[in-house]
Amino acid sequence: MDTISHLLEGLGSLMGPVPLLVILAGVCVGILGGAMPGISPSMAVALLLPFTFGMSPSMGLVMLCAIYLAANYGGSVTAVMINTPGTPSAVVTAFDGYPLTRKGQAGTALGVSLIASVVGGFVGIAILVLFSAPLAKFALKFWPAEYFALAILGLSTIASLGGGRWLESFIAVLLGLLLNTIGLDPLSGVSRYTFDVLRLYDGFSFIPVLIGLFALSEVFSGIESGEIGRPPAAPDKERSPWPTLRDYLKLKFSMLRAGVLGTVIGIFPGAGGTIASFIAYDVEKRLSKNPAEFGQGAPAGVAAAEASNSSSVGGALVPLLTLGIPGSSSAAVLIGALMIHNLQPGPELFTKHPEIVYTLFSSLLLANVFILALGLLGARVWIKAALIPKRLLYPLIFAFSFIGSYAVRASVFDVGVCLVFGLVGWLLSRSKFPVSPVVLGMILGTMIEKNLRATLMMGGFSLFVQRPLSLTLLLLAFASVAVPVLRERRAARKGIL
Amino acid sequence: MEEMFVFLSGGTGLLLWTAGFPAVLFAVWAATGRDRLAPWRVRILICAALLYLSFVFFFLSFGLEEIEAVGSSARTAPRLWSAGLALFTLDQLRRTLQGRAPRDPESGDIRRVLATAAVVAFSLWGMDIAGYYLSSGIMLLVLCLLLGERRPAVFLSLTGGWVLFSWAVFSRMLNLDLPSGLFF
Repeated sequence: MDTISHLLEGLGSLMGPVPLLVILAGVCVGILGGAMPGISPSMAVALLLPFTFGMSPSMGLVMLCAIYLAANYGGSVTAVMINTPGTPSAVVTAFDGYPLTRKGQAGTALGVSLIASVVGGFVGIAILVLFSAPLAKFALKFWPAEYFALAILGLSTIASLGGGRWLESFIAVLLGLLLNTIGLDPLSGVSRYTFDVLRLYDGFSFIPVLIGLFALSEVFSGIESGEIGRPPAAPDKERSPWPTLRDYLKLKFSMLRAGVLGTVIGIFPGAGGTIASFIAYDVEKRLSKNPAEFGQGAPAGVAAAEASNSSSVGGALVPLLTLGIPGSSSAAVLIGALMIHNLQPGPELFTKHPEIVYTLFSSLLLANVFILALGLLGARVWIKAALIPKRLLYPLIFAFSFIGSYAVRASVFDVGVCLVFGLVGWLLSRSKFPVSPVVLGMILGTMIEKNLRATLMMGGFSLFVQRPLSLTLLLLAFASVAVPVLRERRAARKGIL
Repeated sequence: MEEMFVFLSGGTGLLLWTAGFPAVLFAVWAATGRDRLAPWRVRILICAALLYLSFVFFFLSFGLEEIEAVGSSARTAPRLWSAGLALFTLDQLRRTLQGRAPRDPESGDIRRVLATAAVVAFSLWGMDIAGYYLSSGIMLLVLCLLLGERRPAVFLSLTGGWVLFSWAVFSRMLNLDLPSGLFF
C-alpha cells in the first residue's frame, strides 16, 4: 500500500509542464540517440549528462532514465527498417525484424517492436517498484563485510559474463580498481600516486573517464573502420499496415515471458540488454511451435528481443538504486549522475530521499507512455536520425564529450583525461578487451576498499567467513570466477581428446 | 630507501616513469616484430603496458605513508589490485605466447584516428589561449574536413550552429563557466 501511495505522490509531482517536458525531451533524445548507429544507450546518457547540471536532482535523473529507456526502443527502428541496429541490443531485433520488412511487412515489425518495448518496459518497471524497496530495507542491515562481498560478486559476475573473454574482463576490472586508487585514500587521507599533481588529489572524475571509454573510443573505432565514408542505407518507401489488436494479443505470452526474463537478467551486473535479448530470443525459439520461422521474419522473435531489452532497464536499476551497484554500462553512467547531484546510490537513498526514488519510478512509467505515443506517431521520422552522416555526427560527439567532461569540475584537465581514456578504450576494445568493466571497477573501487578495510579493522579476514551472508556471497563470487575457468579447461580437454 | 620512494612518487618520478613507459613498449615492439609473435604484437604491447602499470603501482605502494590502523592501511588495496592485475595479465601473456589468444585485428585507417586525436589535443591546448568558442569551432571545422565533409555550407553551418548552441544552452541557460581566452 505504501508503495502505491508513494508512486501516486511521485506521479503527482510530475504533473506539471516542466517535468512532462523533461520526460518528453528525454524520450525524444533517447529514441534519436538509439536510432543513430554508433550511439549506444550508455553513450547517449553520458553525452546528455551535462544538460542535467542545472536541473534539480530528481529532474536530472528523470531525464537521464527516460533517455536510457527510450534509447533501447530507438535502436530497434533502424534494425527493423534498414537492418542497421542502432544499439547493440537491437542486433537480435534485426534477426526477424528486417526479414519482415523485406517481405513487405515493415508495419508488422515496427508495431510489434514498439508494443513489445512498451510491455517489456512496464514489466521491468513493475518488478523494479515491487522489489527495490524490500531489497533496500534488507540491505540496510548489511555490515561492511557484506557490502565488500556483494561488490566483489558484482565485479566477478561482470567478468564471468564476458563469456569467452572472461580473462580480458578480469584484467579490465582490475585495471579500473587500480586506477581508482589514485588520489587521496578514502579512510586515512594519505595521497596515493598523485606525483605532486594537484589535479590528481581527487583522483579521476568518473564522468570524463566514462565519456572517454564509452563515447570517444567508439568514435575512434568508427573512424578506424572507415565507416565514415559509407553512405547510410535508405529505408524502403513503401508503407505497410500495422498489426491489429488480435495480432498483438497472440504475442502476449512471448512479450511477458521475455519481459520477466529481461528484467531478471538485467539485475545481474554487467549482463544488460544485449545478453537479455539474445537469451530471450533463444528461449522463445525453443518454446515456439515453429522454430524454423525464427530468422525468417517471426513476429515472436521481434517481440522477445524488444521486450527483453526494454525490461532489462528496470532490472539494471534494481541493484543500482538498492545496493549502489550498476547493472549495466548505462546504469554506471547514472551512478555518476547521482553522485554529481550529491546523492549516494544505495539503500539509504530510499530512507533519505524517497521522493526522488518514487518520482523516478513514476517518470519511467510516463516515459513508457511517451515512447508508445511517439512510436505510433511515426517510426519513419526517427529513422531519419540514422541517415545523419558519420562525418558530421562524430565531430559533434567530440564537442558534446568535451562539454560533458569539462562541466563536472570546470576543468580542462578533465577534458584531457576524457581524450586519453578515449584512446585507451579504443586500443583496448580493438584487442577485444571490454571497456565497461574498467568503468565499473572504478565506480565500485571506493566502495570495495572502504568496506574491505572497515572489515579488517573490525575483526580481520575471519569476519568475512564468520558472517553467513558475506561467506555465501564470496563463495558465489568464487564460483563465478571458477566456472568459466573450469568450462574452458573442459573444452580444451575435449579438444585434445 | 624512503628518500628514493619520495623521489619516485614526486613530479620528477612521474617524468621518469612516463619516460620509462615508451622505452618498455619500444623494447617489446622491437622484440615481437620479426618472429611468429607478430600477429599478436598489439596484444603483447597491451600486456606489457599493464604489467608496467601494475609494477609501478606495487613498487610505489611501499612508499605510501602508513597510518596505524588495525590490519589495513592505504597500501592494502593498491597492492591487492596491482598483484591481481599482474597475475591475470601474465596468464593472458602466457596464452598469447602460446598462440591461444585472438590475433590483432587488421589495421584500419589508424592515421586518421591519430590525426583526429591530434586535432582534438591541439584544440584542448588552445582553449586557454583562444577560449572555448574559438577553439571548439576550429576543432569542429577541421574534424569535418578531416572526416571527409567537403561542402562549405554544411561544415560552416555545423560549426556556427554548435558555437551558438553551446553559448545559448551551456553558457546562458546552464550558467557553465566555459574557458575564456585572450579574445572572449
